[in-house]
Amino acid sequence: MIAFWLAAGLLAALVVAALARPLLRRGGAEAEGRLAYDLAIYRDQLAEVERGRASGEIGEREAAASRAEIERRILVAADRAEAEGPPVPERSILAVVLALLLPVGALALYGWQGAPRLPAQPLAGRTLPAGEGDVARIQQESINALVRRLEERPDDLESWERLGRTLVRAQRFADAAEAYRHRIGLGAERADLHAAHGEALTMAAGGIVTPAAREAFARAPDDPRAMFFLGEAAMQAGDLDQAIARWTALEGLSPPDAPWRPLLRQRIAEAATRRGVPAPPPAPAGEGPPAGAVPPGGEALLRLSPEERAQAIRGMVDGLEQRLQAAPADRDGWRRLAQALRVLDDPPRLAAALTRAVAAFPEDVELHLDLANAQLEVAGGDDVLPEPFLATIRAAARLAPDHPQILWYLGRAAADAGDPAEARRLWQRLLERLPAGSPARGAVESRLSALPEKKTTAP
Amino acid sequence: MRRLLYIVPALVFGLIAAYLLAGLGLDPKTLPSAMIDKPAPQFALPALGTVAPPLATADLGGEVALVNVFASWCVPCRAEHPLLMRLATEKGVPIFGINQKDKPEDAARFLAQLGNPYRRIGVDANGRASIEWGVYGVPETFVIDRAGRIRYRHVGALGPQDFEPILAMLERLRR
Repeated sequence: MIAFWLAAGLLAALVVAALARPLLRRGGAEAEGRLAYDLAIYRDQLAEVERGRASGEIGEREAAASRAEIERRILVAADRAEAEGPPVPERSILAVVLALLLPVGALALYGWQGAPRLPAQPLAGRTLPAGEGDVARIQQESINALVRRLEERPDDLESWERLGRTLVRAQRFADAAEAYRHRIGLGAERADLHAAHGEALTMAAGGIVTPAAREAFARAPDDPRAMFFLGEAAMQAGDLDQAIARWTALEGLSPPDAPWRPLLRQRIAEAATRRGVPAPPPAPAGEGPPAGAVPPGGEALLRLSPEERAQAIRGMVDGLEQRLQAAPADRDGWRRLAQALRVLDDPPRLAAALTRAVAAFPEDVELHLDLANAQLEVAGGDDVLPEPFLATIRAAARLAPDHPQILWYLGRAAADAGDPAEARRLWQRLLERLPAGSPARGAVESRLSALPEKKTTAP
Repeated sequence: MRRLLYIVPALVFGLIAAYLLAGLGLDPKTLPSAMIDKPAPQFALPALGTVAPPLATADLGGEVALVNVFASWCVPCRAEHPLLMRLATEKGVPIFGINQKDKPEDAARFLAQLGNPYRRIGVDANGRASIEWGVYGVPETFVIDRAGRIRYRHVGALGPQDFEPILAMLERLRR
């Protein structure tokens, strides 16, 4: 970041210098130099005339006329030099104004059109050091690998799905639609598969929801993506009322932080404008905190402003926490507290509360897992499994050794500790417990295949 | 006096700019058509493979209908296509297509992908019939009354907001 500002400052200084230099210098040294040069020439000419007169080459009259002419030119040159003169005040002012305006203007433009808030991307910290060509190459390689795999095992559901996803990312929408169609034909249908199929068909038609795409979306009536595109289909067919109705319904079902909300709002507003009606206000259901965050009797909370609501929830959380400290044998109370702390987005406090909840209910697997998740969040992700988290998972494993999440993390812990055999055993057991076609299977399988063959030390 | 001469190009530029600026405010869709209220021109176009029967002047009239000029290479045609589909399938509006300067296989693929709202399609490979209709560019849509006269002309793609007005106009002409 500093390097960027240094470079930008240096460039601005260079530009200002280049612009201001002629303004300050012009009429100064340059003009004086020119005048001196001119005078030298005229002096030479005068000397020449003098020599000619002395040697009798030119007559007295002609010499006098030439001298008068040269002297006249000298006067003109001196006059001109004076007129251009040393830097006039206006020029200096212009230079100063330019020197100020240029960096200030550049800054303003950058603030307006640029991205000053974008975090720096130092080369070392980038997750994707690949250039665009590399991305395309990697995509092509993974497409090739998937196709090879499907030639061997044409009924590999997971690979068909991955092929569809990869082809969409590679912008080969017609092929992606074909892959999804094939995947759906193999059975074990899911709503999100139909939605993905419909989206690929729509993208292949240049954003037009084709009849085939509409059919695909209709088979995923509860999928947000399908709901969005069915609204789009209504809009394209000129049914603005239905488009607004569908999008408003989707908005009402969307969580407050759903990434598609702004787009949805924009489309609703556009449809309303075309219809010539005011856009319906944002649906209230999605605006409030998710159901369950509001303690019983807390409906009045929904009528408060967001700040007031957070304040009120905080007050209730404090009361609930004190009560549970005094009487910890209240499982629902702990759950409510945990939910509220999740809404307040306070992982350390959540972990602390759940630690006490686990102490009160040492046989409750779900509470253990909730605590483990909170501990992960405190640590800021699961790239490195933190020690308190592992302790919680091991405690939970004594209660439910075959829980998928527990098997997954125990396997990861074993792999991290340099015990691939144990990791393989745990993940194999996990695979047996995952339903066919579950998206988690892919993650487990890729981890399994990445395990080293022999026992090695942790990477 | 010589200096004043330098102003002339600036003046000419200013005049042209003002003229063009005024033109920007005009709506090209309201371009008057010399064809309005005239009978549809005489034409007879071959069919698009087996997709739909051919189209000729004699097929127009008797029923209030739309004539839509389209091409698979035209992006706005895609955008208005769902609208035509709905008019044809939900509202039962007869729509006739003129497929302008298109490859037949491309047009057939276009209709296979987006659906075929056309009762009849005339293939206007060289665009001659479109000239008879006074078509500026694709897409363009004409409303034909029961007497076979052109009653309305829409230049450019039909938008979602045009659906209701078109239906209302068809309804009015039917009475």
